[in-house]
Amino acid sequence: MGLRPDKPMVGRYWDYLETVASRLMGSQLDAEALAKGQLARQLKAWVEPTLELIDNAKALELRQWVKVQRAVNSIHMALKQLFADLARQIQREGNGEQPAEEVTSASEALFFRSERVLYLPEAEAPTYTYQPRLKDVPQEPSPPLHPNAFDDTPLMLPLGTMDAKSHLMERECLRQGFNVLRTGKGVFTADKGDQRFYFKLSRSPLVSVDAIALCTHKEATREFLAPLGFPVPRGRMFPSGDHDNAMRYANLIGYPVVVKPATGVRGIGVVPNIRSDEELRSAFHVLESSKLGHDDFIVEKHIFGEDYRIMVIGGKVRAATLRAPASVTGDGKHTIAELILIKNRYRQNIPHLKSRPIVYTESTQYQLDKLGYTLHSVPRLGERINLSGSCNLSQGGDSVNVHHEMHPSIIKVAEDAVKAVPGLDYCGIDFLIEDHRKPVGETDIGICELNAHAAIGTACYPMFGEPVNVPRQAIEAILHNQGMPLTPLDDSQVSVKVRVRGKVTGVGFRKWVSRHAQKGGLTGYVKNRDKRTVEAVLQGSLVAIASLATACIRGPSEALPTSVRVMHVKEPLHDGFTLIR
Amino acid sequence: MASPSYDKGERPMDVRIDSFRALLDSLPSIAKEGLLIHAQRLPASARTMLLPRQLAYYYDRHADGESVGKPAGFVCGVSGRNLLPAVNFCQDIRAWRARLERHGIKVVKAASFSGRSQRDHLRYAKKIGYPVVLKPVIRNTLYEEFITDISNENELEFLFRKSRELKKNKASDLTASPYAMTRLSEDHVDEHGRRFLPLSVRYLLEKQLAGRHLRLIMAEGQLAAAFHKPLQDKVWQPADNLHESYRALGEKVAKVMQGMAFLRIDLVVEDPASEAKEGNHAVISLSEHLKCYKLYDEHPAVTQRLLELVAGCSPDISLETPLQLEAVLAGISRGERLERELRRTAQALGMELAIEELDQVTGRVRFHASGPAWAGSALTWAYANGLGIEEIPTSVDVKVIRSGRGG
Repeated sequence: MGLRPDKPMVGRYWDYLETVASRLMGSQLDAEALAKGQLARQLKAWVEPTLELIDNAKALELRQWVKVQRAVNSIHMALKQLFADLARQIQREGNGEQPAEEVTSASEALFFRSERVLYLPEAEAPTYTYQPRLKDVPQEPSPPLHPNAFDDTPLMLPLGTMDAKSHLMERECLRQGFNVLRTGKGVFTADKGDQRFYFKLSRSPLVSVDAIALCTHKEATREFLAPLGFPVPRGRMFPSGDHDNAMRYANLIGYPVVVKPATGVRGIGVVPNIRSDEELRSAFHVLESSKLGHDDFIVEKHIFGEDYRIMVIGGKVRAATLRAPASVTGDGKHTIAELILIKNRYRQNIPHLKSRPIVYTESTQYQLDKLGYTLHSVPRLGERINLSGSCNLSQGGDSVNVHHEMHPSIIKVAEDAVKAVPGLDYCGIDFLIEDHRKPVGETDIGICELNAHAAIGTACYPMFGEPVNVPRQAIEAILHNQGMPLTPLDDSQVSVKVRVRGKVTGVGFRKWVSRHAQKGGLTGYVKNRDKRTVEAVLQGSLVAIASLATACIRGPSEALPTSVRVMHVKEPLHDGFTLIR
Repeated sequence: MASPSYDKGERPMDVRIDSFRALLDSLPSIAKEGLLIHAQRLPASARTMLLPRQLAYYYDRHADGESVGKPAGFVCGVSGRNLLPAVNFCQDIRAWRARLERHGIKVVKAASFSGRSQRDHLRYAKKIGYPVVLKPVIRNTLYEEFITDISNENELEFLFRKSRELKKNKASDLTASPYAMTRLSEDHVDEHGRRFLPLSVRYLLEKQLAGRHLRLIMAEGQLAAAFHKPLQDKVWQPADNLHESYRALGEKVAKVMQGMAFLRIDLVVEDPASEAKEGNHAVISLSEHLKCYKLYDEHPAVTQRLLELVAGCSPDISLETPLQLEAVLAGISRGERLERELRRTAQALGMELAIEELDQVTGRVRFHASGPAWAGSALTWAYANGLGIEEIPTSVDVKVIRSGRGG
């Protein structure tokens, strides 16, 4: 196979997998070795070039790395099939009547071996241990947290790449007995009797227009909260090129400071932890040579600490999620590449992180270079290797709910800050906190941002720590505000009628519904109601019903649905799912 | 409706302005509604916080003169009592049309098309007949970008393409809606490098009806005012003999649009005095913007009543009463220029000014100003929103020291 640097890595990987398959087919296999699973060494020799591939991998785009992951999973399945076929072939050639169990055990044994050499090693589940450093001194570690695994993951498959925010809100509305009309991927109305609530992504009736205008402007948020005594980082905005005043200001508030463009996105031009005039001058240079170099810029006090999202609903903190940068923890046995694959396998169990694996990027390479490691290094037991400078979950970051150990004084600050903003009953506050277990005066803390339409999947489906059903609490708060009683349905047995309008006939819509309904264990039927309407009755678990109903606004690739109406119905239980022609 | 232009050369502060009405006329229409509310609330509030994007917070005055509790918030003159998703629903024409139709409320015949389907919208226009109206399905700006009186195929094709093209600096900060959903897709660039709205952004083509315009202004689900005018006229007339069925229609729409404390409903009707029947009326637009400034000149009493409803207070002083205020501006970098501009603006408005602190390192400027209440409101509003000035602060914090009533 050899190294062909001119070919993209994914292409090379596929070539390699094909080689493995053809060698297996053409090799001399004997039934005994196959049955005993003694092919490990032979297989390993064929698989060895993978090491080289990983070693020579340059920074990949996210999609490429995802493809590699998929390739690994696919070869997993392909080999399983291949070994089963081989075993059957050998069985025939061996002109004996071998019992069926032996064939199965032979293929399973091979499958197990191939799994090991194909970098899907069996290993302990990755854990997360919180251990902050205050002025470079490591603090007492918190007890380790184990990764979550959610049963909802396979049921939410119909959603595909659709955003889960709106789906989660819809699910809770259905649970409270509301009927739902969805007119877009993120837009729906929930109604019950005379009451009608509008939702757009995670924008809910708990937020007013002025609150969103404040929250979406970082400078305005600072100007509003600072005079009220909340811990916002001291700072101000300067027009482009006003470096003299900015430098005097940095000296006035004291180093370390951060410089960032006022209209910043994705960290472009941001220079943190500037400690002197000299560093500040070079930071201005970095800023000016960035894409946003001609914009106004902000100089503010640097806050040490990690990134937290605290959800406040109805004046109370409901979840506090620490967003840690992508990392792996060594076990003294596996290489960093293997640890990434192991962790990604566990991320597959989290609906919110399923499509956000840890990826190998320039930033990963930079972080590893800094530590003197490569992807083949085997870190020692318990050693945490940071793989990214960003806390972004889409860059492979971990979400950890730390509400249980957060200091009450921090919780109070979060609740008071949200209460101070009129018309804000639902908010995700972004904090930087040095050690969340310490009271406000003893640890560095700063409010970075208020999010009036914060993503709710992070708190609902964290990688580590207790999950919190934030949309449920939001819907309950809405009902409470309207003086409506809570009437939750039984999650496991819901019965709804779904009507999808638009270009939905002659495009395989019914087949699509039927396939997903069966996968989700739903019963009922689907039929064409008229030329532009498909009607389905779905019975079963709320999660499966809600995700299929949300996904109906997209449907199969040829469909163009315009609206989806979901109504609760009382129907006798159907036996299985029927596609009515 | 054409986009309101705001030319630097025409900035209003270079001349002497001696009445609130003259000042209002000189501002871009986008900033007028906010100023009307500001002039209501500022004299009655203990403290006022003005932030970018026409965001204003007013703290009530306690018996001891101190500010207390949660402030009342307004953005672009729209009350914070309107809930966000309901307003977003109002901005999405397809969404509210579907909702109203489902409740049996007549809406104007229309269909929406994406940027990929130029042929389809021409075919649809032919089917419904010219003249037609073209508008974006989702309104991301504060003004309504309607193109009316499109009378033939060529015109429609040209305008469809033109309206999708993104000009440099087309939308200033003032015109962009601070609470709209942001555009998520990438802009579309053609072979000549011209930038257009993403192809997925849809435009709505609707039949331009003949008849009279009827405007219903709803407050907390009840009809607060009704006006009508012939389609081509600019001046609205009070609909004194409005038929009861239109009042009921307004209340029904307001009920469907739950979450909108204040709502403007525009209809085309045959005759507002006769009963609303099948075929003689249709809703053409819904909005959170009441546009009181359009009524201010001709109908001051009704406008005042509407403003009081939205502002949630009735000022106990008139606009001409003397007012003394203390303001702190933040985020100022060029102190000299600010001082020059501030003195010129105060002079134009006939106010006395005393600058007490000016520090361009902290960016803080503190001054006292006294003059008629309308001028105080105008000065602070102009500074908070960069109207007619170059040195724009990031916030304006105002305290009323003394008003005509001595408080």
